[in-house]
Amino acid sequence: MHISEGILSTPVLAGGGVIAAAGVYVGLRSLNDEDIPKTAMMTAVFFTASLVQVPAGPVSMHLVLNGLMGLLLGWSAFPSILIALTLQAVIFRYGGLTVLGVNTLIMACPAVLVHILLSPFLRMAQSRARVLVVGACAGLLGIAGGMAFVALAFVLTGRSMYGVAGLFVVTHIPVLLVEGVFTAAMVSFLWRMKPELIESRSYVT
Amino acid sequence: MKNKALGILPAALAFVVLSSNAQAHGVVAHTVEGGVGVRVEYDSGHPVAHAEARIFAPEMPEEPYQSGFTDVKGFFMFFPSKPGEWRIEIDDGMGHRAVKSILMDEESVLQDAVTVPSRNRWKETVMGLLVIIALFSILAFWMSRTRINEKA
Repeated sequence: MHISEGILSTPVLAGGGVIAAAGVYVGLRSLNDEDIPKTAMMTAVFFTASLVQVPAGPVSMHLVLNGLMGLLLGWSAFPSILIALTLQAVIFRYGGLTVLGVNTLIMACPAVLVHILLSPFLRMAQSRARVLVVGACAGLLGIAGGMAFVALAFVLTGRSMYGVAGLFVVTHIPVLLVEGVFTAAMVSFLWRMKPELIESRSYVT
Repeated sequence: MKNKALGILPAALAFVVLSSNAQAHGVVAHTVEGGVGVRVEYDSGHPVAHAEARIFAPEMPEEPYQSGFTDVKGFFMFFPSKPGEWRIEIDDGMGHRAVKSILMDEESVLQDAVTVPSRNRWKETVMGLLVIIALFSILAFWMSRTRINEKA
């Protein structure tokens, strides 16, 4: 889901950078002392999740886990994803430093959307089946939202990107399914083993 | 609780196995040597530059194995993967078309041009994780100091 350097237009890169910076600011404001270990852990998980590859026809995709981050971190997903993406760009050459803002938006905006839409349902969930459903929805929404933002970035760059955006969406369908199952399993596991991780989330103050 | 704790083992094992089989997601370009190519020129001797080129493999006459464009000097290169008759079609989009067949035998089929050793990402991953720990430790320290200062 990382967009490489040299693909998007300068206005899209600049706009993405500004909006991502605003999101990171809100995320840092919402972060409190107790959330730091959890945020650090999720940053590490996001960073290493890129090494888990999902075969998708001729190419391979990797887990993103932004839906899970949305449920656990809320707005703090913004600084968390920014740090992980920066390290991925520097160490693994994924994406690139100039695309950092847009890539952060692509993955963090769906995470915040998951937080706003699904966290209340997770808090109210009383059975494992409901937790699984919420987790699966979070995984699906995280990737689907990311795909929508990638397509938007391509379309805003110019008409020539329409075909690429369509191809991107099609090749990410396997990731969508794997991410839904994985996120559901993880949320269910945390709900049983460490429910306080799910109950304490960062809210904008 | 013990049974619950045991539940994490398959997930952790799957994560490690999948991670160890990870392929590179970043894109790296390597220089290669060899290959088979054609140079296309008009009968005037001028190269057919930036013309559409399509390569058809021996047993796939309908589906292009590779497509692209000739360079400014009319060259187009490809790497045949098996012996047989390979067909190259060049179309300059202005009504000029050339078709060339190249017979490749077992010996002339190119093996992997370069063997790219898979990168060991464990060290890089550990380095990244250490940076994350360091960053959040600094953040926690800074936040606690700010809170102490505010109370004072």
